Amino acid sequence: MSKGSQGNKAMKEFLSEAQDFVESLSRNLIEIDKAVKTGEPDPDMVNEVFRGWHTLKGLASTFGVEPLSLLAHDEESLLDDIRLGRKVFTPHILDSLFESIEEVTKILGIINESGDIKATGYSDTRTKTTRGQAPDSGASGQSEDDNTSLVDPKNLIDSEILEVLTEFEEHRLQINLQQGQAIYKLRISFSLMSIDQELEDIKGRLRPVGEVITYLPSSESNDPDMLDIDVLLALHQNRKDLDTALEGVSADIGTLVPAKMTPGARFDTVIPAPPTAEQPSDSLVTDHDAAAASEIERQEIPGRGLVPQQKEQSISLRSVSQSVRVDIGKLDHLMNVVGELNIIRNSITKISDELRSINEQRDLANELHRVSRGFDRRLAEMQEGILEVRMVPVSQMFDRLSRMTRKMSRGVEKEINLVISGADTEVDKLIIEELSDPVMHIIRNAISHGIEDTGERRAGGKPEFGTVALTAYQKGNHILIEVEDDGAGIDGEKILEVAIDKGQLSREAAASLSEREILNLIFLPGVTTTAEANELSGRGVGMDVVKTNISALSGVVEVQSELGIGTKFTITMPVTLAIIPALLVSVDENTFAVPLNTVAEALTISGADVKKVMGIETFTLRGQTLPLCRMDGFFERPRQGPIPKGSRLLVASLGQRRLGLVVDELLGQQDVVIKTLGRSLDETRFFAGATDLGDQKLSLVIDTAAVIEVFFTSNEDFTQPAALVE
Amino acid sequence: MSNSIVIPDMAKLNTESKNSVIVGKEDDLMLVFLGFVLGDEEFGVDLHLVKQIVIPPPVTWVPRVQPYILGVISIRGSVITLIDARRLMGFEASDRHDTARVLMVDVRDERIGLLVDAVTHVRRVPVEAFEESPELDEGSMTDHVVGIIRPDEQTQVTVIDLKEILLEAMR
Repeated sequence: MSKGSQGNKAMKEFLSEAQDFVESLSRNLIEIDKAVKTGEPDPDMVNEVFRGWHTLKGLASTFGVEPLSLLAHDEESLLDDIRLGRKVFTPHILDSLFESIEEVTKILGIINESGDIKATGYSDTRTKTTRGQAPDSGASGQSEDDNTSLVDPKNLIDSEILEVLTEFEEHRLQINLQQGQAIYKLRISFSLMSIDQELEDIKGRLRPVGEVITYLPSSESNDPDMLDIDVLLALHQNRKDLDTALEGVSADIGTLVPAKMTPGARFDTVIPAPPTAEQPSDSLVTDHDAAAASEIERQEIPGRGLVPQQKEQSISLRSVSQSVRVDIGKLDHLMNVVGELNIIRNSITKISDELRSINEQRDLANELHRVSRGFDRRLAEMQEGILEVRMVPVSQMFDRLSRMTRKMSRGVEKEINLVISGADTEVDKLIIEELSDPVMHIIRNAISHGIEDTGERRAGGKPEFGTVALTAYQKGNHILIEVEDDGAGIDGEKILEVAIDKGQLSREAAASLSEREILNLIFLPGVTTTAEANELSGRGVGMDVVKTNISALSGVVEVQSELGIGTKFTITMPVTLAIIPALLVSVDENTFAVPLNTVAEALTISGADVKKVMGIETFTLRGQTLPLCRMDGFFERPRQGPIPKGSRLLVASLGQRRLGLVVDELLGQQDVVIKTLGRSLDETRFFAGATDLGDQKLSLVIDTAAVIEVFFTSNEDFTQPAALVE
Repeated sequence: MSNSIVIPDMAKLNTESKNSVIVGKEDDLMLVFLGFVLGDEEFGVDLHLVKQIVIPPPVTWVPRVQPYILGVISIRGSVITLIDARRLMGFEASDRHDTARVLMVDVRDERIGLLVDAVTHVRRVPVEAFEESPELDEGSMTDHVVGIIRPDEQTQVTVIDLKEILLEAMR
């Protein structure tokens, strides 16, 4: 915080804003990519991408990030050509657009790492030809328009309207005229109070029946509270459909140009392209100016695209965006304050309980109790509110991943269909950040090792398109992210061989492994299914790193696979790490917190309930054998003898694994704020951090996932204290 | 209030020391160390290394860590690892006295606490009174003795390179 200089702050601001643009750009590009495969991309979407680059260019030059503003300028020009129909989307152009986003990410990365907004050292290694200037992407794209001639709207539509159209809008108008679509002018009255909502509603209604070319505020309104807007619509359906779409809306519908009965037929009045100087889209106007003009025009329409809130305010004073960018560190601080308030709350509760035991203070005690109950509720609300702010949809990560998947599938020349579902599932921002790399690695593996070559797939009777399904959903206090492919599956035999070769496993031990245990060997360092490394995977970063990273976030990763059918990785993560409900337990007179979301149930247990299986202490829970882990032994303070009467058993479950944690006492439940441990304690993996419970002494928060992990994989025996063996 | 700060801000005492060659160099003429006690021996460390001195707050035991790590303590809302200087430097464990203090030092970007038996004085000595690395028995700890100072007739202080000792232990 101390080094929060002005420049630093500006840089952060810039980075976070630029990142937002990159994300929305890539989202739109992915949509366009889909649309190009099936037909025509939505012109609105193309325009959106153009404007995105335009804004990014402005942002970059404001902050003096030269390479970025140059790049953005090139892309902006390219997209301008496309939206005005001078070029069409080819796979090549799309590739270059996706690449440019990668380049931007690179530049942002350099700035972020060097901490210098003017950081040099970036050079675009791509040549002009690879940046969408290749011959096949050239001006020939306009083939249809070139051979024919453009329709001059001048003779069909009043100049009053034409004069205010932007170049892009005019282009769309021409395209529609040329296709013989009918052009309508709809005059609709909006109340100033709710214009945003209503306009969005109208646009939504009109989208299925035609294309909204533009909407312009009309000056001829006599009611000061109402605003008339003229919507210029190219109707693609019947007039009847328009009436149905506008049912219940009082609109004055005027036909400007009737539909051509034979689409494709030419109008009498034609002019050759390029447009002449008399046209509204004056050729002297540069692309940049046109874009700027379109920007201004749009802003003149009051409160466009806003979520209508605070309607009582003057419309012109509304800001463009209703959201605030917040440093996650500030939220962490707020969370800490809430944690401290929780501690104070506990003290108040204690005092009020004590007061109640004093007879003459009963009234005051009751009053205090009532007030503190109210305080409790508000505090809980506040906590929930702050948590909610930290939550972001996983789409932030999925968008990045789908961009990468697309690039990768072209790299390995396999056709990959990435199916995303549950992108609106919300997770803590920090978890998303940390999870990106592991998930990316899994997808990378799925594409390079999982999905077979096209030929092999055909031979195996599978569709040539390999499918990778990326799914997110919430289950209780956990979020599950699944990466499933329909590839070749993991060959257990091969894995075993490699693991034995690498010395991770003895041949005898290998013989006793279950199928699941064999699959889990892929999480060991150095174990891989493919012999040679390629560009995309196998560069030394293995699944062991994936597992370590996920464990560091208190998550688990599991794998299921069937030969010839496919592989599925499931990542189970807590929804948030900031503040969590926890069970307070004691082990050997020390208080520990156990995250509640990892505990399925708590029971009372004594030595008599314990059955041994091959020396391992177990408990039979509803007919199922549950291995027991005595926490005193696990923490290397084993006590002699059987489990004492009245001990508590926490049934910890994470993913498919269950383990019984035996503790001395259950002290209660409390929401705890987790503070990280210093690097000097890196070697202990069993704690997610420490928390202040208000008694001046810290309590450690047990990382249940790590305990389960170590219990099942380590050779140590935690069920039987050493002293018991004698 | 158990962890009230004894010397509120050591940083204020610190002078620019970046260029000093000898540990604890204050200026061209004087060296400055913080003296602390372990058992019956007084040690000196570079004053600039110590960021804060606190009375030991309640310690939380951390299982399965190196024996010289006592646990964690809470200092101004942060979780700090507490290291037992006795165990770290090969002294026998003993009961804690009221005089015990925690020296806060920064190692590898992390602030950690070092529990010592007592803090004596800030020791200022002229450069020429610093006896550099005396010949001692071979040993892992004697390697870290930088020199000896004698602030007065009765007192002898063993100056150690605390940072090196900590780095070596945490490696």
